[in-house]
Amino acid sequence: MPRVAQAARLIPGWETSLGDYVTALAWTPRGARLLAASADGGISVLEPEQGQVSTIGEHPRGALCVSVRADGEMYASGGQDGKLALWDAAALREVARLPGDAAWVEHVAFQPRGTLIAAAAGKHLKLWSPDGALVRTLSDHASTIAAIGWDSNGRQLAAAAYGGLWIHGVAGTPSASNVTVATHTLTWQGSALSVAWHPDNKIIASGMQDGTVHFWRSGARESAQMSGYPTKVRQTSWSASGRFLATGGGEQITVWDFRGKGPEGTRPLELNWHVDLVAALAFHPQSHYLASGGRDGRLALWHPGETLASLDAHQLPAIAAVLAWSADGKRLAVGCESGLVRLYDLA
Amino acid sequence: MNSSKRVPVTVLTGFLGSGKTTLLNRILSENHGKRIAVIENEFGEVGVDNELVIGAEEEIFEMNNGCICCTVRGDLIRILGNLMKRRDKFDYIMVETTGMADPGPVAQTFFMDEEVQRQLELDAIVTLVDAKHIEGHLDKMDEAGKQIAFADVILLNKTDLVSEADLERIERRISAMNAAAKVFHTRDAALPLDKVLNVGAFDLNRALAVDDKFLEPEYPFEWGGVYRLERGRHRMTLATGPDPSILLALVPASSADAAGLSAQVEAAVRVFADDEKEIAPGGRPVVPGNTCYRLALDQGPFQFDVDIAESGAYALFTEHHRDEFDLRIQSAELFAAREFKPDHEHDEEIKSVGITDPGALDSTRLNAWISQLLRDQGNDIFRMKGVLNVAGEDRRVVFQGVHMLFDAAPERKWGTRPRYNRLIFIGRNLDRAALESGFRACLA
Repeated sequence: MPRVAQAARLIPGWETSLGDYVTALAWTPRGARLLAASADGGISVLEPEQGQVSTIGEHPRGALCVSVRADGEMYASGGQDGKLALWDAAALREVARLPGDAAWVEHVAFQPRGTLIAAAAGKHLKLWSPDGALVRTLSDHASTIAAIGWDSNGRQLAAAAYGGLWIHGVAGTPSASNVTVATHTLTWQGSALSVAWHPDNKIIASGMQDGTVHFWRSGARESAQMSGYPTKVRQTSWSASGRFLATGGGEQITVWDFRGKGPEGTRPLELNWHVDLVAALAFHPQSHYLASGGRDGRLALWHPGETLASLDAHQLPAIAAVLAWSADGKRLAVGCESGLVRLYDLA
Repeated sequence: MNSSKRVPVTVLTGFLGSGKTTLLNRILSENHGKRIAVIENEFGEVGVDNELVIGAEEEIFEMNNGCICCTVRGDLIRILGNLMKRRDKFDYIMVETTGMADPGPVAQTFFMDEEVQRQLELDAIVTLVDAKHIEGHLDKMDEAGKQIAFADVILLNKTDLVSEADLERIERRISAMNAAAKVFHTRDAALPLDKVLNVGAFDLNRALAVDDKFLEPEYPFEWGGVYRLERGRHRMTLATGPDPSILLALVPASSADAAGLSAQVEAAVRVFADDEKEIAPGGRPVVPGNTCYRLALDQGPFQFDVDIAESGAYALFTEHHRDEFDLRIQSAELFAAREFKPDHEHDEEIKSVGITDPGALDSTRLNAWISQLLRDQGNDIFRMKGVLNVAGEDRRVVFQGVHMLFDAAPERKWGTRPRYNRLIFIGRNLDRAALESGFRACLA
């Protein structure tokens, strides 16, 4: 019987309630603030130390996504008003509201080690500079984009849509004249729902509508397919070490081990605790701790590789829709369908 | 932890101009106490200020299983997922499809995504039909027929723009395509909302109402008319038509009116099933009775004698429509006439095939037959519904299906009531004989 390396627990701490379903959460780099988006349209800044919550603006009809720039000085949000909003972090003031073009702005991400802001609306992926200038519009996606993700160098931007993944190689400094984008596709005839870059940027994984997970290693034309999930896979999360890929797609959490030759042909780790579909998964930023939320309203903490049993579990008053670890890994923010945002300390 | 009740969804289809917007506006503005969210195909047409009205752009995703009919609306999965984040704000969802939509992918979306299935239930497919333009649409575009074939409820709208006779003809054509749908005649899409909301068409727990009268059989003749003929010899004339011969039967009727004509239909079917007797122009006369005559039309002029021994009402049934040959009985008055949908025409057209039988079915053979049928013809079978009498099962087994998605469950007990099977298939390229023999092979 495997010995647990550390007994760990999630200790509930500060909490607050937003008006409606929490659709997105993002920590600032030093963990002083949490940026939150809510289905009622509100964009809020939560400051747990001060116990303060301020709604800094809104996207009428619904707020869908938020992102915090690596230096913590700018925030971005998108919503059902079809707009991308940019916020100055110091003044907590909106500095730009940019058009997504009719469709909802469903995904937004700041470029790591760069200054571009990627925002997806419908089939279009737009790259903006921080002063609100449109640098590029990438429109070759076959359907509405389901997810986006930059690799850790900010050199590749992946977009998931029907037909697979579009990998946009972005180079140059962000003035329209010298940003170049070279795109190639990783095809799969199905609806790709998520994007997850391996920490070394050499593997990209995607969860699919058809109950499979695909991953492509650098240079590979064809994906490796992991199938057998009871339902579509929307949650895909890599551990910081790059060893584990945790996936949802059912009531069970399926963790693939990429050590050595990789998971092809091996049995994954099967973490069972939830009695309804997995709703959210997040690997800890440094270790192999894994947090999970299910439609059963449960929150669980795992340490795959050490044990198949959960280390700690809590019943939440509502289903967890979003999980976000602070950058230092000391706190886990849980955003619920009811609007509840609760912080847990990892102890 | 989940809200236990699934949110009902109505799918609204219909060509541009059929009245979908009118119906949606009616539903959103009438005071029925229901909070309704709408996913419309063109944002801005309906209730712009309403937060719960969302625009969608149709995106059809094919499943990667090689099956061409296994498609879903990818955009709808996303949008419904998002809409359900605010589920405390509404009790009902209506999805409006584009004018030229194939209802298949929309309907299948509700059965092919686990999250959608757990939180939402498809209540009914409601199709609006523009009475003035539907016949033209049906003749030219596949989608018009599909929208009728998939429907649970059909609103035959804009009835004020067509005549009674046209309406009757249109409704007969629609019923022949989809014998299971409930058809309502409307003007301005006005009707009590309980006819389109909470219909429960996909709910296996609600009793299926497939009446006998919906399952209109097919006839070997296209036209029938009733005359009053005096004793003596009459002249029947025909012009050149599409065929070198025509079958006909002449039977005595009790009265020279529509009722008298209808009463002889079954008798005429029997006569047509009998051996034919060929006659040439100017040759042996047509005599009322049990003879099925084949009139040879290769050498004109086409004149035939009709000998009547006793004055009275007589019903004439012809293989082809009499207008195609300009068939007349000289100086005889036609009192009533009727058209019949022929069983030999246009197999590729959409039609309903109904099967009824009191026997008990062997469940193993039944499963094998249905599986094979859906594998081979799933793309052409749009809907199927029915009640089955399964050997060894004391409850009625009810089922319904969309393409290859098939769902069956036992319902209430038969008890002392007479047991029966009643199935209906709605689709194209349906071979009635093959379906019937396949079904009968499953009888225990």
